[in-house]
Amino acid sequence: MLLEVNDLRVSYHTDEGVVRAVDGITLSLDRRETLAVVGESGSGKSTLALAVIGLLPKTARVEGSIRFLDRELTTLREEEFRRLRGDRITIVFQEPMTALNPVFTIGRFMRDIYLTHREGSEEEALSLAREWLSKVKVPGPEKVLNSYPHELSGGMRQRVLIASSLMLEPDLVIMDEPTSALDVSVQAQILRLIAELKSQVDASFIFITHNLGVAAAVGDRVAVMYAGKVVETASKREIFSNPLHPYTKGLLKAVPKVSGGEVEPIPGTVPSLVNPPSGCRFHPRCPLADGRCAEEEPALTEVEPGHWVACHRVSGMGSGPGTGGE
Amino acid sequence: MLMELDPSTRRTLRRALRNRNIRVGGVIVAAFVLMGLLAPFIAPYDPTKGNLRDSLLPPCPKYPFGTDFAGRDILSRVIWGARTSLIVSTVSVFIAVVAGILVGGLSAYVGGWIDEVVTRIVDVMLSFPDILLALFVAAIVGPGLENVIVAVALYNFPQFVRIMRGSALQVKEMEYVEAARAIGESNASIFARYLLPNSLAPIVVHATLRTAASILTAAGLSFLGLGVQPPIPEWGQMMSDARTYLVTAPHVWVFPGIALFITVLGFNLLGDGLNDVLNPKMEV
Repeated sequence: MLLEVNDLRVSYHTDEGVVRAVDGITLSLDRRETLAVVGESGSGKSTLALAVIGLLPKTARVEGSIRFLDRELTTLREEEFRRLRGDRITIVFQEPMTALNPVFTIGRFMRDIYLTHREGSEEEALSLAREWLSKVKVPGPEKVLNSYPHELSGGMRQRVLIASSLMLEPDLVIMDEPTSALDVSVQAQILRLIAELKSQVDASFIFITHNLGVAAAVGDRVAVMYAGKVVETASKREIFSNPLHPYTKGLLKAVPKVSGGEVEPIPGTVPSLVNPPSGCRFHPRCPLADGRCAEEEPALTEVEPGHWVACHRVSGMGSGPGTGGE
Repeated sequence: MLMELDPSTRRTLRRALRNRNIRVGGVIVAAFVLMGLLAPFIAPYDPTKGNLRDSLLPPCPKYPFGTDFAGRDILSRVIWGARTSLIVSTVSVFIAVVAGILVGGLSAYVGGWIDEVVTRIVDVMLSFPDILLALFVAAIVGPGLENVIVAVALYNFPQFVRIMRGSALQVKEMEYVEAARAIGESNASIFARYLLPNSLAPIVVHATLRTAASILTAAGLSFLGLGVQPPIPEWGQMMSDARTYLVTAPHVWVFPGIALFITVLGFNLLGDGLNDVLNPKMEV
């Protein structure tokens, strides 16, 4: 296993109370595997990403364990973590318009990444940068190297950031909604590019998105998050052909399809993380909820090999009562 | 030469040159700087040596601006006075800017109780009316060129701390700062290469405006006898000397007064113009 997250909890103390942004997440990632983490805003998916790369604000309290390359990241000294970041673990942020320092050229930015982590000359750094810019299909890499961020479009900047995240051949690449800020047509291009690059590199990916369609395009495995918890995880094929958790089903129904058909929004809103609902956190919005759901928290259980669900109405009942919903 | 610059710099430059405030202010400031730098070559007389027989002469062909009570050429003293003002204002503003950037930037970047303490101290310093703080310092350390520089620097310092802190707080939240952390940059590197350069625009504008204010303050201190001491020619002190002959020989104070007025105006115009050009809201 490249990455093993065990009962990870991240909480913030605020004036309103303790916000449990991530509340007991367990997941693992194999080498070369891509895990798509899907959830609404506020489900804790970005907090999970920041916890893995060690960029949570100082006010965050982290419990549980994150093991990466046989090292415990939650207790790693900042100095050592810094050496991992940008080298073994990289991240691509959502907003390509602001993720690049406006005063540096692209060439200087990429060169700096290389020189921060490798002994080498500037020429080596720039030739590697050039090579990666052509791999992400940036037209005219040489010109882009000499450009400032504001001279490039959003899609082009995101390509630059993707190239930068892969340049040092990391073990783990986190993509935090890398296409959400882009135009739809550009989104498709970038997704295709990411899918293509995945086969060329040795890295594992955590792909964070609120869009199941995007998860389907890039993920090998999908984890669905709700209110700080993973409610269902399975292979991509399994999640789309046999979704078990009512929330996953709801998400699938809420996606508009080209073939038409009603879009059914999930009623209600994401619960507060300061004072989450008792029992199963989804029960106030769940069409199948019964008395037990409001009292007892369902555990994530393996209902089929590799398919884990946290739902009282599903666990232990094989494919569950609500399978006909799709 | 313009062609060698990248397009955005060229665009900014072109916009700067189209701005009337920058053009007028720039010419005045350039003239003032040249006058200060070239004083030994363009001043017709020695500004410190007078000819008592020519005392208090009104403007005439021999002395275009007339002479003062000691028979010193006022034109030469105005020219040399530019050099004094240039030294006092640029050195003091430079010290204040460097110190302000470091203190304000670090305060914003580190945050916590350090930021709290710095902010309170700066608030206290800012609560003094402009010249009072400089006056206070000058009164303690005594008059003299170096002391005026220190006094004026100290009175500019808190303003730069505040501006830099505000600007850095904003930049600190930018995603590229987090991205810098994500690629393994150290704190020192993030501070020096991400935070500082991106926080500087408002500092540039304010430095120009403070140069004008500093010239005025230095002149004010000298006028009160707490600044540059004779025989070094200084506009404020020249006007102070002229008080006795306010009506009988007005040329003694009129010329340094006009020089002071035009110079301060020039810096203010330039600062306003830079503000228009560098203000990010004007972009796009």
